[in-house]
Amino acid sequence: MKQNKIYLLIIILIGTFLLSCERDEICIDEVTPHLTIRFYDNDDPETKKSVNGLIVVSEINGILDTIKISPKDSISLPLNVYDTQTTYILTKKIDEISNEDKLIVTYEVENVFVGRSCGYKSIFKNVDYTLEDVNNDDLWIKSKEQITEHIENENNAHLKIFH
Amino acid sequence: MKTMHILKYFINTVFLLCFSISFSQGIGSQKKDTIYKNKYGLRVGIDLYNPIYTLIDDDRKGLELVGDYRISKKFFVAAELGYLENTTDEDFINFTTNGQYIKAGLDYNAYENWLDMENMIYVGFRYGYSNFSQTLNTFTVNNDYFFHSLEQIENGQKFDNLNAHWAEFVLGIKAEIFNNLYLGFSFSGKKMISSKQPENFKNLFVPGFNRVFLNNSGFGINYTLSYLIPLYKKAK
Repeated sequence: MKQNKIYLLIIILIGTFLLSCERDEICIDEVTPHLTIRFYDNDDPETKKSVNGLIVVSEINGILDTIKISPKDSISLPLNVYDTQTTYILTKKIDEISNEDKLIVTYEVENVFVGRSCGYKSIFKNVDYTLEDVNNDDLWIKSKEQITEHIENENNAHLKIFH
Repeated sequence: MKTMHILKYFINTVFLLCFSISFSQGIGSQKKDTIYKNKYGLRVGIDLYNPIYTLIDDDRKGLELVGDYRISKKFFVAAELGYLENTTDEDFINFTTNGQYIKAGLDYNAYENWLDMENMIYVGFRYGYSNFSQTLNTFTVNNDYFFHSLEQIENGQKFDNLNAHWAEFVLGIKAEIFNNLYLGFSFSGKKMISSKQPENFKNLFVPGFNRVFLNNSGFGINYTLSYLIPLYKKAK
């Protein structure tokens, strides 16, 4: 009887051990948000309109690199967390001719702690957008509308572009 | 790292089983003809886990003094006092925790000794308190790979005057290997009660508590070598 009691205790002891080998925490929380742009029809501002042959490039250390080629009516782009601005060149194909427009995004970066497995994320405050023409061929982007002042999550779009 | 942990638990379990065999020899043949007296006194010792850990992993340095005082046949007042410096390396953060801790509580010896043996299989509880600092050595902003920006930021930010209160449940064994010299092993499950958190960071490791899991729980193991300073003997 007494022997059983002791064995029971030992089993509990070992059991507690095995249970305490908890699984590694995996990063499932939201980290640094992307800039989400949604494209709308300039003639009908309520209707989403995809951009024909959209290509987005950005500059890293002086070299242009393609971020995304997207036929959809919305796009999410990474912002450079080690700088206070990111420049994109958005290219639209109009009658087989590429029209490039430059979008300059300026912001303040704030690093926020998320958790053990995710580390820190950046959020972007006081975001501002500037459009510039490239190659003097007029802007294909007719107008823009800023939805949020800060980019803190990816729940909603941050910028509307009309074309 | 993961295999080391698995190995650690394996070795622990084997160690534990060795103990259980040596204990079980004494069971089942009790005679009440002679009254054996129990030794009462102050038992002091050190924890062997941290010094051994330091040998294989330089990221952890610490010292813990343990002590208990027998108040009755079954009950012991127990306390631990320690210092720990530990560096935690995660995917996106690397930080060093530095501080001291104290634990105090009660142990109950559930083991019925044979003859005049003084072994223990015990359960206990502790209240723990620690004050410490956290130094964020480096961190990486978890962001899009596009900007090749998974570079580490040297931070070195120090968060001082942090503290934590917690409760512990202890299961352990102590065996008298030589006269008055004890070798012990214990496992503790911990639950955080309250903790003063740093700003824009979190107490992911607390001295004496060890790694703080998501549900504010933790666990620890101790190997102790202790010496009983016998003060008097009593039949009960």
